[in-house]
Amino acid sequence: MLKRHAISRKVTGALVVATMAMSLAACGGSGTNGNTNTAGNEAGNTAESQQGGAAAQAETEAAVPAVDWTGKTINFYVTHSAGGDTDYYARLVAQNLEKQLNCNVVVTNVTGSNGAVCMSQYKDVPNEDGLNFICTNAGSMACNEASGITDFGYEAFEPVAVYGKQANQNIIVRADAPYNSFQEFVDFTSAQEHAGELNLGISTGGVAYFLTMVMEDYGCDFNIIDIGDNAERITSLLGGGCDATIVTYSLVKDYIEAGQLKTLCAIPKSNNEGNTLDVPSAADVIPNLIDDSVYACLAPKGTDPAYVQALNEAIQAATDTDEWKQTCNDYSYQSRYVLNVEDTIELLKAQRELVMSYSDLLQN
Amino acid sequence: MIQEGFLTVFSDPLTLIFIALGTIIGIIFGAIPGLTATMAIVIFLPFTYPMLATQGISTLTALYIGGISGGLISAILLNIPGTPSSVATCFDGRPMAQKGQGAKALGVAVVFSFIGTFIGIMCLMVLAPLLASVAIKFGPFEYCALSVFALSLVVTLAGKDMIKGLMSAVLGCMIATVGLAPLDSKPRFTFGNFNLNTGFKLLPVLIGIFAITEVMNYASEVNKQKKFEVDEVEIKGFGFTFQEFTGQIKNAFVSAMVGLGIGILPGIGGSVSNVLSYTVSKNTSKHPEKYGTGIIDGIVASETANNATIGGAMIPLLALGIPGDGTSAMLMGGFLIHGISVGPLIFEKSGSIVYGIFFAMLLSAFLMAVFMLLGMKWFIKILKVPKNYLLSIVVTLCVIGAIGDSNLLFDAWGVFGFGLMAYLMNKAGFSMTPLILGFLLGETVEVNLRRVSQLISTTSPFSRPLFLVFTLATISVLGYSVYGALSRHITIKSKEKREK
Repeated sequence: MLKRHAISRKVTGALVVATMAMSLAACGGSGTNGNTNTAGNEAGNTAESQQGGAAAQAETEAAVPAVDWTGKTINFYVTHSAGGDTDYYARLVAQNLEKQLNCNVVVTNVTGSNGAVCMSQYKDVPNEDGLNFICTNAGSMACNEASGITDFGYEAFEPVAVYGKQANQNIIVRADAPYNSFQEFVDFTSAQEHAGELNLGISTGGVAYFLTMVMEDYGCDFNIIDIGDNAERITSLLGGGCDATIVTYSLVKDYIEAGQLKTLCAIPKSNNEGNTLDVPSAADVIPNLIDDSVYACLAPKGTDPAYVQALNEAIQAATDTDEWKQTCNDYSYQSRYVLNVEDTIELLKAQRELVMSYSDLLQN
Repeated sequence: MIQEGFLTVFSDPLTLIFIALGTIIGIIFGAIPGLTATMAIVIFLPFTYPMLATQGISTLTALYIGGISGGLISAILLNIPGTPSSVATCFDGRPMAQKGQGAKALGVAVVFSFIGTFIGIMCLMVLAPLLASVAIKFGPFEYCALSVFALSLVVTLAGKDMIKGLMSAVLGCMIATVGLAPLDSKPRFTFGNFNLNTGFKLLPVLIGIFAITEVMNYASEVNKQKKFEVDEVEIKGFGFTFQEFTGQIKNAFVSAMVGLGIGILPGIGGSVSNVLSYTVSKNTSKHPEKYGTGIIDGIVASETANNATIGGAMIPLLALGIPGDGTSAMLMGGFLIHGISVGPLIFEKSGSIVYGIFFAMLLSAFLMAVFMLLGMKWFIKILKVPKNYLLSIVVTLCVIGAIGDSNLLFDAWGVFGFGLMAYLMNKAGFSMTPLILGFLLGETVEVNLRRVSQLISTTSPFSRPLFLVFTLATISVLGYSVYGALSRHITIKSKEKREK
């Protein structure tokens, strides 16, 4: 039982249900241009602010530290354990940054409570030298706040960058199930005579729970059972313990190929651009059935904005490689997704607002 | 495919070197109390990212095998289990070492560790899909009944004082409830401390109970020290006779099956298998009263089982893509990162790699036995190091290990807290084993009980045959124990009457 939840963290931490109307499309792969909110570092590799209108920046010019990490050791505190997706992405970024900045990046996993332990521990750690950063997934952060596990969200940090998206969640049933599309599935469970008949295996409180609520809200009627993490959901579905479940596609793709399970739909992102998974979208049937979650780097509160800006640029540059793009595609069925500081904050803010609107539901 | 797999391992010197290194590092991690097999995998997993798939995963399995096996060294020589998997090895290993049979205990433990690993891997190679289909049959009903059954075996572990044994087990279950509740994530007994949200982790609890208690026991007797001399033992062969070996075949087989079974069932931690196997062995033995006094049966039960769990845990991992415990969850991460999708098509899609891994595991098991048998001469010298030096180093390593588990200083306080608790409970005559079993299984019982309560509206327990089997088994064990206790009580009473 020592780390029985290693995999569950991967899942529960994963998602945010959102109906974000904001348009992120423009920022998706926009590279290093257009940073407007802080002054640059001494090397001058930050573009001079194009739109002087940003009021916040005026103050920062006075005390700009020399941002040079060459030969230094940066610490990445990862909120989830090794072997999962949050850790994997954090380590990939770390490896690429080492080359980019000619420094050491030490990755330390500080685990527990879906990332809350690490976040609580490092949110206010002194960071005058700009060497301490936290890597997490934004879904965990928002869910923890909404469910009352923590009493703070992204605002307790200085967001640095979003550097990847979560792999796709799918609604999966056994291959011999009577419905072949998500529409048929919804029709089946919405029908009076099948009310409460289907066992839907999820974990309560997790993001799958949100998704379930959206479906129930639409008219579906399930018997909701708590099955646990991704792995336990697959076991349960195969063994007949539940009739349908929500899991990451890559974990069941062989079962689908082997003809034991089938996917009804993929839960899309609000900005589904760059998704390479060829499965019908759930939002075609239930428009609100959307899941956004991202991997993000944060700095402790009070970190000098120059460090935040410089690291963001370094991450953007370090991930702008074919190798990185290939990895995102292989591992998450996604194209490269890296945001500048402004867009990162905007995204985290939108996610937080939406998840918090489900707060009551989560806390019950 | 099998041939190809064989060649990927044995024709690549780099793979062989990685396997050997992995095994040695694993043994070291296993042997040092506080550092575990899981930790070895966590630390070295990122190093395997750039390797080839077979190299990377072979290294990880070598760390696993070495790590699970290495724990026996400190269990026998220091009475402190090197990993959670060798808790039960202390029970008979330590008394043997005290009797001057340390080398024999080590020899037995190493040889049966090898046998356990071998049986586990063989089952993995031959029966994986079949056994995996059994694992799928286990739902909340079955896990709940199985873990209650395992807990009922505590009765026999409780020793002479059944009441204290049961109290200890219940306390273990209670400690397991600290932290966020399963299912609804409500904090319990955390007193607003976020460090407690995760609950108490196994490592600090075990280190506290074993390492700190051992040190405090030593400290309390340091002034009335008898000279404890270890005889220079000549180790001949494996340290035990052929007759002794053949006498253990049945015990080893049963223990391997227990270990394998626990490994196959995702949802029951691998750390349980050694304690459970020890209990089963004691229950089925002709001389249960000798367990704990230093007989090889106890060591065989614990060490065969914990190593058989390795192969067992790999079965659902490979055949279903479902990790059985934390360690195999790490391994699964390794597979995914190397682009091997575990699950029903693994043999078709990555057959040669999988067979390569099997051969790598066999090689690693063999190397483990060789390294440990060769090292025995040096291991035994640990006993000659003055304890005041040795134990202070051990405590330091233990605390480092506890912190390193999730990189939290808070866990160091957990170590000392549980150490103090265990020391006091020992003084009061409580046995710690029921507490450990309660702690390990308490969460499984609770989670599954709560899931059963959700399922019961649509599923009848009478439609779950395995549930009924385990429930009946629990009733029989309890009934038998009560009957035994009552009849002993009556005999004593009637004896007293006659004497009057």
